[in-house]
Amino acid sequence: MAALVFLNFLLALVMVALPLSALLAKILTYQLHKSIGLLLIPLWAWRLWLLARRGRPASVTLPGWQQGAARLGQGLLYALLIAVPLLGFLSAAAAPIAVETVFFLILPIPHPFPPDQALYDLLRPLHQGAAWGLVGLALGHGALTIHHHRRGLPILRRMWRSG
Amino acid sequence: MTLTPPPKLIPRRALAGAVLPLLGLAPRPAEAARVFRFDHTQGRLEFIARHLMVLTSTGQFSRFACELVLDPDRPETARVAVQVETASIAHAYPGAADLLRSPAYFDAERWPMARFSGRAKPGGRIEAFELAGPLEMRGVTQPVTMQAKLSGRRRDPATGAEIVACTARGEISRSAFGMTADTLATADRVQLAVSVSLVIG
Repeated sequence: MAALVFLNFLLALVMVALPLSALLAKILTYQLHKSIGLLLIPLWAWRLWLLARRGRPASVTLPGWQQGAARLGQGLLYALLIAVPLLGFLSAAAAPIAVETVFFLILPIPHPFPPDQALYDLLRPLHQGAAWGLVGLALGHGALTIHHHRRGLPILRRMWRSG
Repeated sequence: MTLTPPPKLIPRRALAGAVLPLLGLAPRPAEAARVFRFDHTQGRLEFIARHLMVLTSTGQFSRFACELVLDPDRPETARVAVQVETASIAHAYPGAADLLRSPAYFDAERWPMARFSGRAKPGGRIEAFELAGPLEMRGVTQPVTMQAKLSGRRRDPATGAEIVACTARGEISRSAFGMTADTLATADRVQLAVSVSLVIG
């Protein structure tokens, strides 16, 4: 799931940067970005279901404030993991250009409302800001995990097994 | 695609004799026919392109002028003349309008105007009649047929005027007009759509 998030983030940077003269590539990257974003929604639900079924792994030896910060970070990660694709889909629906969303160019996904410039102006920066926040948080999460792993704590192995 | 109903128009019979010859339309004897003039402030002229067979995008022309000679009871006698400023393309996607004005598409600098003049084909009805005639664009003239209809004829409770929605749709092959760019991304067939509300009584 993390790989898909990073891939989609990179796709977003590419699709925006591509000139209109590369129209085919631009359309394809936009649709792929939207499709992966939609795919993340059921994956997020599946991951939550796994978490609920297995429960949280046993705590490792960390100071209380670090455990609290880890829980907060994880909660924020889960919130952004669902908020980013949902905001993206809604901003695609509100976009004045009114291009359809077709899941991997096969399955048309109806938009919940017609194009709306004012709503788009609100949703698009929210989607972008949340995406940068998600990637930043995920990178920080990963960096801290490696840091703890180097100190001999079994967090990385535990995450690998639970993921 | 949803076309927003534009404001109502008032017929200008007096202009018919002066304007129609300029547009190459001879006045017709039927007295019930009226001349309706409308432009971008009252009607909409849109084009819809398909991409990768599953996506569509819509643009419009923000400057055009149309002369429609129409007897609402006998649409089979209708005639129309439209002039479009090709540089007036508007598109919601940033940069798309510039691309469409470029030589690869409308080549607006070299060919600033596109023109269509059509006459109704025999056998039409109010609900469906065809306007066929030449479309000149990018220096190429090709025959085009628009499927037109008058619908929603009613009396406006506010003004008491009788109004009717006039819409027309057609399709062109962009390559026939020399627009051959991005053939993998964008289909050759492009739809045209015009809509306006006419005050007929």
